[in-house]
Amino acid sequence: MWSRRTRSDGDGDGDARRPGDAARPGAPAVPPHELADALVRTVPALQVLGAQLEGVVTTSETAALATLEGAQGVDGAAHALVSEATRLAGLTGEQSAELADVARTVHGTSALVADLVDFVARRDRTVTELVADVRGLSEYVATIQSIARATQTLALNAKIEAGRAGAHGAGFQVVADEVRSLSRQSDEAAKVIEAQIDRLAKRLGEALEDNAGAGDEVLSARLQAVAREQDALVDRLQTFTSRVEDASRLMVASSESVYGKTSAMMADLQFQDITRQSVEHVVRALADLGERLALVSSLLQGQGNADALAELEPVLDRIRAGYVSQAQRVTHAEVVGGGAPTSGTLDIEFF
Amino acid sequence: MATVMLVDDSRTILLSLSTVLTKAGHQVVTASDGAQALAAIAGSRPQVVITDLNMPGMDGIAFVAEARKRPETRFVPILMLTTESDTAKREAAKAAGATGWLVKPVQAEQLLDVIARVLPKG
Repeated sequence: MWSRRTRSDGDGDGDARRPGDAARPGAPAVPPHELADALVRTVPALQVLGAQLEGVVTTSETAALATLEGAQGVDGAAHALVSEATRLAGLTGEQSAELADVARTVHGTSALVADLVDFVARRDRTVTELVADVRGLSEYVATIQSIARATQTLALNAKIEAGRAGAHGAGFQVVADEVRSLSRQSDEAAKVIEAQIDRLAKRLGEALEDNAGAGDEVLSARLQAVAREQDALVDRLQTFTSRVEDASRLMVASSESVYGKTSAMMADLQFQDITRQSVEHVVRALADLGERLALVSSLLQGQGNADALAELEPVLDRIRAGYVSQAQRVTHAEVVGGGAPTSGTLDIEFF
Repeated sequence: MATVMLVDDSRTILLSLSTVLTKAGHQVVTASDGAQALAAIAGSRPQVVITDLNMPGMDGIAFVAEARKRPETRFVPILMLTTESDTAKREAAKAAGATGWLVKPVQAEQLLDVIARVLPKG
């Protein structure tokens, strides 16, 4: 690295001492032509350094492009993942809607089962009430029988009174006989009705007892169990679908995040361009230095114009003029002194 | 979304920024120097131009000045994207007709935001 101090390293008086031997009086002096040779031989070394730096630029560009290609690959995968996850989310959304329909249907089935169970219960209650009503009819039969007995007694008394009335009671006796006959028929009919009511009540009771014991309750229990299973199945499916939907959304969000990060990464590759420009400038400066060494070598051999070495400023000016960033100028100012020129403070400015 | 012309001698810049812009839905036309960009203007009709400053041959400022003479790009926003932040160079770009100045590195979101801001509304 050059500095203003380097200008005083040589006094230009043609002293042929080896620079490293300056502090050792009596050391053999190096002839100017040997120094010139040494300087000339340094130039290829600078050229090698320049070529190496150019190689660094090429390598960094290759690396940047490879990184870019990799990022594009990641990007493509993330994009595909977003598409697939979005599609999956759409499908699970549709499935969710279909499951809602299934749930409604299953709940409808449950309602039907509940109605059926209610119907069976109501039917059983109706039959029970019917049995009670039928048994209640027996009381009316008893009343009829009681009336029949009273009518028979009345007919008997009427017949006795008709006998006492003699010829005047003959017609009345006929009526009394009819009444007695009617009473007997009523009594017989009441007995038949009572027997039928008993039979009917017994059969209804038996039927009700059979259904309640073995049929309807079991059927109701089974239907209710089936309905509960259906409900549980739909719940499980809805939970599963909901989880798949959540996972899909998470996948979309993650993939989009990757997508955004690769964008940032691609923008970060601008650093390669900044580095390239700095290194290319250093390469140019090395070439300039090589020319200066060649000039010194010529002067040591008694050739060339010594005025060209009189000032370092033109060299520094050329270096400064080649800068493409404020950071380079700041570094320059830190090394050789003097302030860095002003620069805009905004990274983004609209005119 | 717009047709964006990128002018830069760096392959890394062209490829990386092209990818960012394409992902955002823009169409991208690239040129590696000012002369190539001027040749492509008539055919591509860019709605925004983003150009580097330091390029071999025609540099960014000369390119802007030439582009402003073309009817296709007379009123098109032209942004300088460069490592430079030197005030004198900014002023030169402004005088040549540049719309704005962006110092590398610029983040993807910033770049997209700037393009959105300079594009004609509607």
